[in-house]
Amino acid sequence: MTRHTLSAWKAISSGRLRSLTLAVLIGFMSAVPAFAHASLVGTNPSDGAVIERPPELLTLRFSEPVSPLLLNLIKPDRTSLNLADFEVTDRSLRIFFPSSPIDGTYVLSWRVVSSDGHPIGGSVVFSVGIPSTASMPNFEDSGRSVRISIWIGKVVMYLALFLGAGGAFAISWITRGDPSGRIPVVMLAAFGIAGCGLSAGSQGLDALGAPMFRVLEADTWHAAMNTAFGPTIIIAVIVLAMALGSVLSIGLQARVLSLAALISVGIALSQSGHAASAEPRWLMRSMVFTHGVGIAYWTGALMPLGLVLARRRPEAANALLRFSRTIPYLVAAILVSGIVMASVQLEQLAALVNTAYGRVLLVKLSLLTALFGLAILNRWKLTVPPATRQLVRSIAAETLVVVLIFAVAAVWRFTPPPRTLSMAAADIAMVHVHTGTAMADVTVSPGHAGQVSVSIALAAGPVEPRQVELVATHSEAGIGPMRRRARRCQDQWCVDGLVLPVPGIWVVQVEVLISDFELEKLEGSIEITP
Amino acid sequence: MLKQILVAAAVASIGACNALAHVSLETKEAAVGSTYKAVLRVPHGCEGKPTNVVRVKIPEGVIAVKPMPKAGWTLEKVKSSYAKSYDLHGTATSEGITEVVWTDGSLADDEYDEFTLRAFLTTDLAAGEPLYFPVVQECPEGAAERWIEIPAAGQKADDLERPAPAIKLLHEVGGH
Repeated sequence: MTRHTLSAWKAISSGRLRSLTLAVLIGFMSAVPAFAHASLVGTNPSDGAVIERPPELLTLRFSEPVSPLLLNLIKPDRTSLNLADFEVTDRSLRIFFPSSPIDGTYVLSWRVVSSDGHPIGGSVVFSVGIPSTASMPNFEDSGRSVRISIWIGKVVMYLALFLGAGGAFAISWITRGDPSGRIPVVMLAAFGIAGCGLSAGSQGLDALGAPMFRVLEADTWHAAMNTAFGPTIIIAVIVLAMALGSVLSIGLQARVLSLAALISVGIALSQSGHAASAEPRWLMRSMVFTHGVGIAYWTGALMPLGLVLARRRPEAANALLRFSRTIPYLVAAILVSGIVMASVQLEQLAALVNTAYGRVLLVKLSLLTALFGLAILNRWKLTVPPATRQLVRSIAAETLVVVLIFAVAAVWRFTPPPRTLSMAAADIAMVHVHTGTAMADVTVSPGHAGQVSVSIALAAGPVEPRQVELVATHSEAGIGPMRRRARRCQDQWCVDGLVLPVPGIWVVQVEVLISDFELEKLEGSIEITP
Repeated sequence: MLKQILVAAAVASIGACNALAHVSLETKEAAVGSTYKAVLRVPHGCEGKPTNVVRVKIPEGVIAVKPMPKAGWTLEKVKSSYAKSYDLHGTATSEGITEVVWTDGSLADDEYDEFTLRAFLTTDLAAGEPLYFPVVQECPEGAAERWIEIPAAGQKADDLERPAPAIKLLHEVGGH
């Protein structure tokens, strides 16, 4: 940069019209070939520093004058704050630190534009007092009342989605608009919407590790929507609204709405949960979808069917026939998807008895056996010739068993599947990254947010890499590239003292410098638990 | 906020000049079967440190390399054999300079300099394709800026953080 342009820059950067003029300035200065781009020279507090008390100012020093685009501070409680109070003096960017009484690990995520228009970004991690060991308490820490409310919310949601939305479908497609069953379906759907609220609130509390009384705070709801469960709740509310709309309308409109609701039950459930997040994800998600739609079809039909039979409606015989014709296919789909999911989650048969997850499954399976017993009784004994009274009783019993199954399945929220236990026992998170020519295993330990060590095992290549760097990014949380050089440790490459301040999906990039002119970039994503 | 929006807009509207921050070649096009004068423009050092070493990797198919000596810098020519034999005006050439290194210099972070070499672009190179000259800037304390990234299929040089300087190869003029 010439002296002339530098002094022009200084003159302008002190003025209030800085940015407006900057745009113009950059525009005509682009003809100057010697324009350089800025790089970060130093920070205060320095990256990784542990300081006694909160700083008043955060200072970033650059090699060239810069203008900030985005300054985001992530606090130890994981709330994020846009820092708008800053001043630029020559090559230093001074940011006023908001008064914050919380000790723990902070991340300043910055993005600036240098005078040549080249935006650069990064993160500075520092701790006040002591580094946060885990930025977010895990589920064991959330109170008993929060856990109970999560469970209740989950059961209500299952009842509403399966019996409510499934029931709306049965009313318009199986009992063909017979009003029997309308009132319970409307009530279930309405309760369900309230249950979704309870679910969202308690998931948010769980995510924040907050006590029950904070359930109505905006932060709690914001946190809930940021979890994987957020989309499930939103879609579930839409499903229930469609189910209500279907029951309250007639003819084609009712049928279309209830069909959409039935299908969306599967979509809602496949957005979150242990099963939906297992690999291979496309397979597991379609299995959850199939399982959910199948269950909604089957269990949703029970109440409307029972009621038309009990009231001896003219439509009863036809409805029963329609249900009996279709149900074997749905049950087959439920069984197949259930077996696939269970085998992925359990990994081995022994896990059925020696893990909590497996024992919940055993209880569910025994209830399922009872349910099948009743279903078979209905099908072969009670429908031909119709023994109406017994059939109604049997259907009522079936409904009761179904409710119990939902109650048991909701317990799975608290039992990690055996698939994840081996990783959790070792307390690590791993990802395998590769390109056509190179591969590496990246292990983060411990596998949860806070200070971690990373080891990178590179598949042996023809030459020893000259340098290995790790770049970690959490785009959702707006945490920009954190670049660390790895050191050689035994037969691996290690990065120590890296702070991953928030849980969730981190994109890790391993940059392997093979020779002066050859760089391999391996990229993958890794899930960091709270 | 308005300030940030304005700056962002300014950045967006001048995306084309991003390349100025990168190490680049002055002449962006050259015909195969011709002699090319490569002027390498180095706009700054690495992260505030001065540049002491500039290395240029000569791509395969580029022969008869003659670097220009530079006051204040020591010139090194790394020679090795090519992957195949190339025709240089009727002479078969199978080895030569594959890397040019200017060392022992000092280019401060707030200074600009140019490094020059001349080379023959053989007709074995594919006209219409880009030709990359990977460059490494070395600075004290092991710091380095490596302009060595070559876009993968479907990627643009703009997508890369440190793209290797490149020229576009044109068809042979007149032909032989």
